Amino acid sequence: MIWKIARKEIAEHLLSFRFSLAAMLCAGVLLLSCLGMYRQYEQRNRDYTLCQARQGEALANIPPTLLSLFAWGLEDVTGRTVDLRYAPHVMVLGVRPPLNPFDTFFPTFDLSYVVRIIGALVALSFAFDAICREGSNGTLALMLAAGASRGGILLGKLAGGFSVVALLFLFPVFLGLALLGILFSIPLTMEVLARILLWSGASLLYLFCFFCLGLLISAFFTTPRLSLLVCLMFWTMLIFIAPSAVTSVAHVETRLQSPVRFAQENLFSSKLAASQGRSNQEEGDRQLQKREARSHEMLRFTDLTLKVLRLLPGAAYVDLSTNLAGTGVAEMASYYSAMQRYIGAVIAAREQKEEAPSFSFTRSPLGDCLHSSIVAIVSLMAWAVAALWSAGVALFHYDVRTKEVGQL
Amino acid sequence: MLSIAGLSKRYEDGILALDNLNLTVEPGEIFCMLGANGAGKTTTINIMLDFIPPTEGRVTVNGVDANEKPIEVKQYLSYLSENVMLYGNFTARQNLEFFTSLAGKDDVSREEYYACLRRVALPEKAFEQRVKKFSKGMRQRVGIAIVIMKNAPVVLMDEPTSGLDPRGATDLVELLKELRDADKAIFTSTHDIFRAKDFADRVGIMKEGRLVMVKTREELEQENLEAIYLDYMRAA
Repeated sequence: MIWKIARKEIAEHLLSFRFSLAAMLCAGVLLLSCLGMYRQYEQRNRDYTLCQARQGEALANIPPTLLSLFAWGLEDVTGRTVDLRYAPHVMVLGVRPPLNPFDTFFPTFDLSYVVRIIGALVALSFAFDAICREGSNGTLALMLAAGASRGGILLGKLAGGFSVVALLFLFPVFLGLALLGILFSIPLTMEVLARILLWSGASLLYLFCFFCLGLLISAFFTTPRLSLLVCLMFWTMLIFIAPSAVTSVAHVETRLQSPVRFAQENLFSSKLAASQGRSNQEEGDRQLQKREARSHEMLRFTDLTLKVLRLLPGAAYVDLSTNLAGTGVAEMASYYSAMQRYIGAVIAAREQKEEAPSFSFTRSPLGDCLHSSIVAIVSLMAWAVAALWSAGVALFHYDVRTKEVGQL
Repeated sequence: MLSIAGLSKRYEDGILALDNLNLTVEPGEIFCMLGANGAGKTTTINIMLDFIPPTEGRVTVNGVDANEKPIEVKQYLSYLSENVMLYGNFTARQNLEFFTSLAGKDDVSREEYYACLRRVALPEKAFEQRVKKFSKGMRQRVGIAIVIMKNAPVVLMDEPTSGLDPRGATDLVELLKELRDADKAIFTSTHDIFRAKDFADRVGIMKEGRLVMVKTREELEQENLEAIYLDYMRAA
């Protein structure tokens, strides 16, 4: 029963104008993203080669990751070249080429961005009328009268509709990768392939959430027009408004001093200490404690923001995809600690009048990346299960009677 | 056999749509339910199909309770709505194939589908045409083909001749008679008094949720159904 309905759904979608439109959009955007992001990666790779540190040079040079094609994330932070000749002052050399100011205005056009924004919209557009269209035109009643169960109809629609959405995304992504492989001979190690497959899985899970949400809305409202409107409202809310609102609230809640104010107070404190005859050592310790307290407070708020953000599907997906690509928050933490260690080593070597040691940084292994993403995975799964379960309840109570009869 | 016992339906807004309906339709019989809009005809069909639950009473089809075992009961029921809506991007044959497969019949050949579509007098060239451009009459014919292919012992029809041209309605009546001859129990609601008299074995009149009259074909041959119907409708 489920397979029969799924097959019907697939055939119906493939024959629709909506599918042609979505196929053109997804193929165009995903291929463009693949090629555009690869060009950036290639340029940054050349820069990395140019900036290779010579023996004894205090240079922290991290190779860019190919997986930034999939999720750019914090690649600007973790994948760059830093000159530490004047440590602790640092000079960042390798930033994203070309130095286009519009990079700041608009988000990076990586594959995760396309999936997050366009994927969610396409998933909703294939689900928003799945139930209510058939309910309002009478085919739902005909299906039920023919012997289909409501649960079977829901699962059939889910299987059929989601297969089409998955096809729309996976086909261009793998086609783009194949093209890159053929045209540019990109090195695909087993680890990279595993990460790409997991990224694809994460993207499908995210799209599944939105497809289930669309099914829920379509089972809740009686007309496709109203359902579409509500779907667009949810899309805007979950993708754009809610994550920005969370970070804005976090900013409001964070009662930390600004860096300028903090520096000013430290300067004033130093002058006061000198006038009161306190020792430099004592004042230094006090300032160090203040800095540590400030860092701790900042970390607390970052952590809190991340925890709240992960409850939203869009943000959970960003967290998951960037962690899988090795450009996420988890990677940033290990990058910072590696950099701190290196700065200390460079200063120590300079004091000893020795050559600066070479910088070493290893990206986190896949297992660690997955471990850091557990909350995001659970959050996405919870969204999908809750939406699907609610869609089942809504369909169970769906009034399949035709409009005229309903007015009785 | 279709059996309705003590069936009542009161909607959430308090309207009593059905009031203690008792009825049996035997195999090889056409029962035609007449009544004004809102009399409760379609509500009865909706309860039989488990689209809405009854407030009281029960419907059994071949001895199976329609509300307790809604999936099982659908094996014994075929349904034709007033306005058959199909999948516009599918052809007539594909629509027929889909609904037939939902009814559990998978081993049907393309020729058998074509034969069924010929039987309901759908033009040959329309078999493999998308139904989105079909007229209401053509869609209704595909709907009847779905009923025929399912071959269930009980057939429910909700105003099947409504909106059909005279030829379409006459063809439908002929098909109904064929189904009766094939021993189907047929329950149909209609406004068409004249055709009801022509094909029904028994005619019932519903008013404000109550079955106020049932007469057999033999009884109706002696009487004027139109006058009886209007008398009931005018009565307070």
